[in-house]
Amino acid sequence: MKNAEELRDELAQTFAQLKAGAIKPSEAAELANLAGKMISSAKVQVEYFALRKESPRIKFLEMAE
Amino acid sequence: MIDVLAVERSMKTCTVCGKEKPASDYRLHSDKKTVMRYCNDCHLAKRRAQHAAKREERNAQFRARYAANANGVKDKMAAARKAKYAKQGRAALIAWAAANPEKAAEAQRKKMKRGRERLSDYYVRRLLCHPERSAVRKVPTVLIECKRLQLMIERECREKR
Repeated sequence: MKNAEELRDELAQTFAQLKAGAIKPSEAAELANLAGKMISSAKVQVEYFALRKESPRIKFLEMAE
Repeated sequence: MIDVLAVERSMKTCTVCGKEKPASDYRLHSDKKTVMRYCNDCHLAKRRAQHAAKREERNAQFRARYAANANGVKDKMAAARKAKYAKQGRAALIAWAAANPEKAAEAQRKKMKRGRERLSDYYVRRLLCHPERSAVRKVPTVLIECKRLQLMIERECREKR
């Protein structure tokens, strides 16, 4: 998962598998937890640049934007 | 002296209960001239029975009519709100919230509850960057989508456990 788009696709796939019962809830929860960390770190980056009133390209969100 | 014949003439026998009653106890037909064959008590009893017999059917009709028009009413109200917002702008909304803080708080609570249930963009954006605590004004859409999916997975896990 190199960017947010890939993370989104991975999460969507995990959700579908969880719904279908292909993976255990504990596994899905681990992935969701990890995704939460990645989202939080991206958010911190976005907040940092917003506070500095800068708008550089964020590599993690680059592909999506 | 009572005019016995006149009283007898005004007396009428009900075709339902068979009792003899004065004409004033009978209803008039819709032409307002001729008197009905059955007395007022029997008439009311008949109407009550009809009402009770058709109660469920009529209620079902009312329910169906309401269900058919409920969304129409909601759409109409939503369109009216939108038109008002377009005409008066956000300033009017802010002024209303300032004038009615309790109503505004209640509306906000309802909006957040709806958002929590549906995981709306508004709710997820607020979770990521609360407008009062964050300097971010535009949260990237992909980040909102990721957060929503994360929350969906967490909810599903909680349900399955």
